[in-house]
Amino acid sequence: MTERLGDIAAFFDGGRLTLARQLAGLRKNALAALIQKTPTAVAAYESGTKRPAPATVGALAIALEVAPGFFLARKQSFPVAATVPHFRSLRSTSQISRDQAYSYGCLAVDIATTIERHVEFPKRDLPSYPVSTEETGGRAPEEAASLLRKQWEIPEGPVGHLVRLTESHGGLVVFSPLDNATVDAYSFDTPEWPIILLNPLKDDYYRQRFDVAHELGHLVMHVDAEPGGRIVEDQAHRFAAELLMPADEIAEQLPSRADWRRLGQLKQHWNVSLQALLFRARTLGVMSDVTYRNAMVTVSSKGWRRREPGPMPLLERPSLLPRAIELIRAETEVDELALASECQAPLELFRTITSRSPTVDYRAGSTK
Amino acid sequence: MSEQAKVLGMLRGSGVLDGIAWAHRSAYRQVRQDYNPAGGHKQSWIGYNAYIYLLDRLDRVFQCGDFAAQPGEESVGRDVLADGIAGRDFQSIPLLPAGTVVRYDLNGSPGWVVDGWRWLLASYKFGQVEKIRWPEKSDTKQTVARQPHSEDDGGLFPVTAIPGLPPLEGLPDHERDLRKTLVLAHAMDPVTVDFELFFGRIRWNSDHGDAWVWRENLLDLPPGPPKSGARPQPVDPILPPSGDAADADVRVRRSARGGGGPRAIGDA
Repeated sequence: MTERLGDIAAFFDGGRLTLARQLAGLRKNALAALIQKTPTAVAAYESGTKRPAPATVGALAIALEVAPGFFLARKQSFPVAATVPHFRSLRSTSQISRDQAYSYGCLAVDIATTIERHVEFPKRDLPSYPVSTEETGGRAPEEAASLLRKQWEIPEGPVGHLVRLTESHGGLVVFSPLDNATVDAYSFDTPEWPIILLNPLKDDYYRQRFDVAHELGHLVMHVDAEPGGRIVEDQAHRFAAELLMPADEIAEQLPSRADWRRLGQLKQHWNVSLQALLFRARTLGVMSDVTYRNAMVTVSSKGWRRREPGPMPLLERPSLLPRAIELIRAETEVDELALASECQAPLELFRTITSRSPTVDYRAGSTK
Repeated sequence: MSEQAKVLGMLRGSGVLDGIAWAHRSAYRQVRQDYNPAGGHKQSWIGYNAYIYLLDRLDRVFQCGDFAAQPGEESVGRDVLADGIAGRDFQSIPLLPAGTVVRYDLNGSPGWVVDGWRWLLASYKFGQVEKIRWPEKSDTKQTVARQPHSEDDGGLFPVTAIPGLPPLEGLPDHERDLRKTLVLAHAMDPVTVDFELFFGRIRWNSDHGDAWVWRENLLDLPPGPPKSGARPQPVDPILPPSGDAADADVRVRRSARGGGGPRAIGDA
């Protein structure tokens, strides 16, 4: 073991240490305390100006709950975002949480890239329609949504399985671990894959679909927009609304009053939440601001923000990575452990990233 | 048992005190984070935003208002509870059964009620908790401060001995509720950003006396014992994948199936 740690120390990659630390949600000084070194030493290991001793490599691996081999330099460098990650609540989300979420997304991209050595995934097919975030007028977000509908050949009417649609056009969709639940859904693009990370706590089919549409909006429109701002988020909402409920198709169907029965029918037809329909009715001018506000008061007071009335379909679930793992195991007898090892990913994170569904352990308050 | 001990014992036993402490901690962390005196924020900014955040966090932790859940459905839509707050706040939120605390406003002033006891919010100047001038506050606070109470407030005669004061039990509901209305008072120092949090019964201090019949410094209270069995269980088991759309088109590379060629692309 000592010799192996010595080998790893010789090929130690500081960037991998940064990644492992960010995945663990630790600042440099917190990690330094865990391994009884100074924050300066940790910074030096990460920048590559100083190489850790074999024993320190062992201590780092234990502290960060990764195999020592995780720190080995790799043939390809870690994925780098081609766009700024879009987190919605920047003001309440700490840098450490954002770093953790971003690292997790990078790990997912890295895993997909490694698994792609064994399988063929759908080709990337995501249009780009950069939108100015300086102006709030105009119809650019709606035009961007129309462009996506056209390029993806989505027929008139409700959009089908949005996660599957994204995957079949080369997008990666993955559930986040519970640690990132307050970050909500987020997304960023990389040269390899555009990726959407889903909130594991969102147990609502309709709201999750709106999230996916919203993140697609960021990926299509916001190549270099400053994330988290009100205008950027509003544009992504408008994109999602147009993608899921095209104005020229839904405007005449929407009621001008809070006709819950009618809204319930439209919800079932368009696969969107009552709240999304109300939002749409207001932005299309079908519903007045006062009516909208009163309707939203009703939504709140009845507990419908948490769960709207009516049947709840199963969540849309990712298939790309889980399917790949199932196929590889069936056809080549390479199992999950071997794949996780090849990806040099911690097994628990590998399982979360390649899962079809979030498995939230409510008692322990963590994902398993 | 004094009213103070009775109320605090009930709030502690039901986990509500932990909920209030969490709400205050989360709200004021946000105030401290957002507070920007160099950018023009003044004391009034603190007062308004602390009120807004505290209102939000109390509704959140007690699952009222925008965060309401149906009884027994605490596990549903928990992402709404997490939305927009710091990760560590969500991870530390006490989980009480929905309906333990209910919103019970008074004349448009936000209030919460548990077991017949209501509280309202009040802000004041840091360090001046006993000098709050209720006669200068809103009509609602004045009404609450004027309520007779069951304890001796230091006057010559105990309040309960006032002739003609109808007993609590004989009052119509709204007057009884008014008599059982308390105040959660919060303040932050704009210079040191220290904060205070008091809970208690206020008194009509037109005499410029103490603003309180009794009050408890909630920041001095030790944390309550951990609650067991309060964690919500999932109500919707994850169902089998029937009805889901077909998987995305993934194919194993021919080379990976064997046949003597390279194991995968990129391999020599």
